[in-house]
Amino acid sequence: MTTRQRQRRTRQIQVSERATGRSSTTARRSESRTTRRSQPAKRRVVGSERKRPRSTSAAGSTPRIVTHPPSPRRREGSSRRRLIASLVVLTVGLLAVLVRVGAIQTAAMGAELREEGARQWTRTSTIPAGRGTIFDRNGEELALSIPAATVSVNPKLVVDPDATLATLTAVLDLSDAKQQELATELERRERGFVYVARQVDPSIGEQLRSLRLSGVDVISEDRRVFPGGVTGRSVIGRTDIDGIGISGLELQFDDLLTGVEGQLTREMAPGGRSIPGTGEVAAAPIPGDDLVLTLDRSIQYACEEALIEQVERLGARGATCVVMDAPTGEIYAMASVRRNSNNGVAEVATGNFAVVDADEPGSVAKVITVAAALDAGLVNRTTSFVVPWREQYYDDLLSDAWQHPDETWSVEEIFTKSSNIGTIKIWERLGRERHWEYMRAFGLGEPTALDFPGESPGIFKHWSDLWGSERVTVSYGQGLASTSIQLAAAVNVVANNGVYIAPKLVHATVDSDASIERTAPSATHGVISAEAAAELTDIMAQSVCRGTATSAAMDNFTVAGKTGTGLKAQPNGTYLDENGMRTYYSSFVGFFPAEDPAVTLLISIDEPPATSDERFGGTAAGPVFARVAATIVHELGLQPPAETLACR
Amino acid sequence: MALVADLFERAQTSVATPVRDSAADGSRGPKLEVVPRRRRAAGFFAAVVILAVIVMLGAAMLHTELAARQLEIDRLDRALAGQQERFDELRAQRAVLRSPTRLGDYALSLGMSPMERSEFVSVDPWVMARAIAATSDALVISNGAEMSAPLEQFRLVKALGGETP
Repeated sequence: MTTRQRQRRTRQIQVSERATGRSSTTARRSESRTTRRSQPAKRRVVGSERKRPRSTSAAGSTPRIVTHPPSPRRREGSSRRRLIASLVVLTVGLLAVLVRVGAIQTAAMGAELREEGARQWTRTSTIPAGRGTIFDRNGEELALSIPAATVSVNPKLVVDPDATLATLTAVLDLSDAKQQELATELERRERGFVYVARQVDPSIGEQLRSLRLSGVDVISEDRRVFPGGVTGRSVIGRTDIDGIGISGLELQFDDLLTGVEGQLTREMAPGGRSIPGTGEVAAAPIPGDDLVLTLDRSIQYACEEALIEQVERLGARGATCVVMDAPTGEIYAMASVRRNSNNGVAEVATGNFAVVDADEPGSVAKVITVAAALDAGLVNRTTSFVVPWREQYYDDLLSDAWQHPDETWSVEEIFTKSSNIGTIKIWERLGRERHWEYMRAFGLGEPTALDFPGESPGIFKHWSDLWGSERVTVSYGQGLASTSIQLAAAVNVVANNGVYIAPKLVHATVDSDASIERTAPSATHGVISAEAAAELTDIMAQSVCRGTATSAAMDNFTVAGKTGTGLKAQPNGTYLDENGMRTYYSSFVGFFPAEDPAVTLLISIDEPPATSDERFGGTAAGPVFARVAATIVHELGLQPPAETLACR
Repeated sequence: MALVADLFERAQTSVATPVRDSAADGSRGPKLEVVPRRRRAAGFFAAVVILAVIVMLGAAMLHTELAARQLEIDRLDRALAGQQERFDELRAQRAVLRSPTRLGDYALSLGMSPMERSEFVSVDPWVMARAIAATSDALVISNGAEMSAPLEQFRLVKALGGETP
């Protein structure tokens, strides 16, 4: 290239640079590349330039516009850059996806997403936990759950309502009312679930299941049964149809008996049906614990039978019975019988009236007054008092149950004759405040440790709140109220060498792993001295030998006890009902063998005939005591002691 | 990544070759020629597919086996539950049969009556010893029966049930 050609070329580049706006350096570099690598292209550019018309220039020169069509080499570079860019983008995208996947798989967010995903294709249902069994102290079942079948219908899915209804009626023996109700539901087809029959025999459920009726469903459901029938139902209570305790021990220990439901997870097909074989127990059900009671089923039955017979014979309103193991406070039996208000038949009550009903204990409370006076050292069995048959105290003229001249009686005679006035004389030595404290120590005025549902604390006013003759009548059991269990536990203090021991109904529990957990021993506290208890035991034995309780005497065993004939307070605030008649609450509480007490037994008859000689504790309750005690001796295998307390 | 590298290599080849040929020939137009196809990627791809199919088939077989085992477990669970239900039904029946209510009614129907009084008699210790010696087997059976009292049987079954997963 000559100098002239080079100058012209430089001008061309400058013009081109001005036209395209590129820097001279870049242009030169481009030119250089063009020169070195693209001679044919350059030649084409020059050739084409020659064909273009010349244009004028301000500088007087002849600038020419030169265009450079993209060379194959430039297209080549552009494609390569695009490929690299695509590769980079794809790589970055892929890396982003990998990072995201890693994050999801490892971070907590991944667990949530997995749960959400699982929720979309799995269904979780509950597995009911079996309710615990209630045993008596010998391991005999008192209440247990057995399998049953519950039949329901989805009216929207029933194809042939008439045929379905006819089939269900035939198999389940539906009542007319139930048939009508079901027919209405099947006709309306509004509800998606209707119970047809609950907790029927499993074989019936199996029959229906085999029929494959459209819209009819049969599920398994436990049913609570009581093999002993009504025996012990006052204490055991019952559950509702859903297996939830609603009374008695079933209610009190409902949490313990119920257990924990399990969870079953199934994979679901798109149609909503579960996929066979995909069921997985996510959480196994934990069966409820079992209760082993202190009750003896045979003794409980004997109590109830004896009470029913006596209530029927006397025409009484009801009766209660408490049998307690003297050294441990364990309850062998606790029976309540009531006359059915509809048919007048005496039957085992559904309510535990031995615990929830409080009545005046009557003369049984004299046990506490005399025990307190003996323990305080204020009297002994031979201490004598002059006892009139009646005497004015505050606003009332109080009297004994029978008329007698003023006599000098010992404490033992006052007790065995059950003199109200004599007991007041003893109480006067004791004083109101101290007597009240002893009564509390004997367990009156507060619920026992049983903590039974609806348990009554009784009615026991503070000594400073007593009014009028109430201040003295509490000494012989009027002006206060106690439950049968309170009274039995109070008298058991004497049987247990002066130590109060809380009554107990639950012997042990059986855990879900079948291990037996024995309940803690009953709480105890000292009330009177052992000497005072022994002296009072002898006095109480004489009461049965020759006092008011001879009807409670047993063959071969010495019984120590006390009768009580309380008056029932009426809604009008007096002891007289609307007919001007008194109503009685007659009891006998005793323990045997008196020499080494094993059992404390209370019998109470509610409202024995008011005009009959059998309204008293000795005549109404005493014979029942003797009868039940004989059964207890047989059931517990008691043997007469070698030496017996003699009747004087 | 191998696939990406392969694509990159093929792109380089397909772009560079015509230019080089064009420059060598000095002709005015690009000269096109057929580039031989690379078989290596196809073979690799086929191997991956075969491997994937094998893995999938293996997984399917594994799941099938698991499902079969699960079905067997479910069957055993149902059988166990059925036996448990049967056990509960039987002990309920036994409890009814042993209940004092039923025994009392049955005894009355047989003409029996509640005892009026108990008599305790003294037994000569020598006579008692001979009786024990003569009835030792019976005593053993009696003890065995005591061991299988309802509560103990129930506890045994409950313990076994608790061990099942």
